[in-house]
Amino acid sequence: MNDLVNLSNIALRKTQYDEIILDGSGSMQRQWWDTLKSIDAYVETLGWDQLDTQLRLSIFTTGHDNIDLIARDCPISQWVPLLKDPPGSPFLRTPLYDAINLMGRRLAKLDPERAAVTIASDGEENGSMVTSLTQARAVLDWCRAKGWQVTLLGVDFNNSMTAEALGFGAQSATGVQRALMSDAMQSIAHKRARYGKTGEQMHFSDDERTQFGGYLNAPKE
Amino acid sequence: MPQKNSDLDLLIKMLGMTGSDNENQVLIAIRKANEQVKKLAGSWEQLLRGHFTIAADPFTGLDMPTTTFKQAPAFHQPTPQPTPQSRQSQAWTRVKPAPKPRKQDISQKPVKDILDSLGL
Repeated sequence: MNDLVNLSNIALRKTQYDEIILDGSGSMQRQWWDTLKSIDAYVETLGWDQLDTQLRLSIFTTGHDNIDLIARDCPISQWVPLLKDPPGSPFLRTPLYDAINLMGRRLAKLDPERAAVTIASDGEENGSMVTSLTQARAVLDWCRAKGWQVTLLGVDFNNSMTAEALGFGAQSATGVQRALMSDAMQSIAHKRARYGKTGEQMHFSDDERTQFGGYLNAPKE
Repeated sequence: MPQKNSDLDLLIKMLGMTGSDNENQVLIAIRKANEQVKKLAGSWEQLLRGHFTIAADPFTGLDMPTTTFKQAPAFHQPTPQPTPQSRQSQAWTRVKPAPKPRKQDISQKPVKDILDSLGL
């Protein structure tokens, strides 16, 4: 594994680990505040549920070295709310597969007992340089085989095609209306806390997908 | 759960012993392993298919994207500024006031037109 996988802030072999991969493409500017707010809501809910985890927020977009812009990488007890100190992005395109590639490498190196990865994007792959769809899916399949929970959120976007291509079941991917992002992330945080404590899988019910997706169509099984 | 884990630990230990040079020890280890599997899951098939997924290493032959792990830049929302207007554009956009409607002077109209408009 390449040493460039930066794990300087994290003790290896953490028990619990969270990673949020956030699309920093141009179209995300419209929903940037709602998305940041929803991530804060996620962290706050994990705190209420008393789950002690390391959380890394990585923003990705195209352009030199923009594939892993580190916005946060700390235990949730040290989380600085994103709305207080908002991270940005060059807001270019969406190299989703390359971002998945890097995320997988970090997880492989850490090998946490329980990990939850949330990928939030408002569009489809656009601009990956080294990773194909097949390779990205293989990384995600491997994460799932390790028992780690991977969730794909379409930010005000019907992500069913991307979800299907990347091997997400209906229970682990959904489009979410912008106005309901915080509600959705709170719901995911509760599931995350249960998974962290009991190992229960993080799954969306049909009702939740309808509730959060609204006019957006949730992916079908 | 703790009982399950100790059963699993024993199974792992027994499987490790199957590599021994001592044939008798290997046979005993296999028999013990089979007992443990029966306790844990009923059969080897149920144990392996029900609890294990074997996924190939996805990183073999996969290039790593170029990255230097930069911190994300601060988000500066641009403050909306009024669009400046040049003198020329002001001139172009100036709207000429509409002329006041003038009262119709029916005295100037031919009598025929007036009768036509009244339907006579």
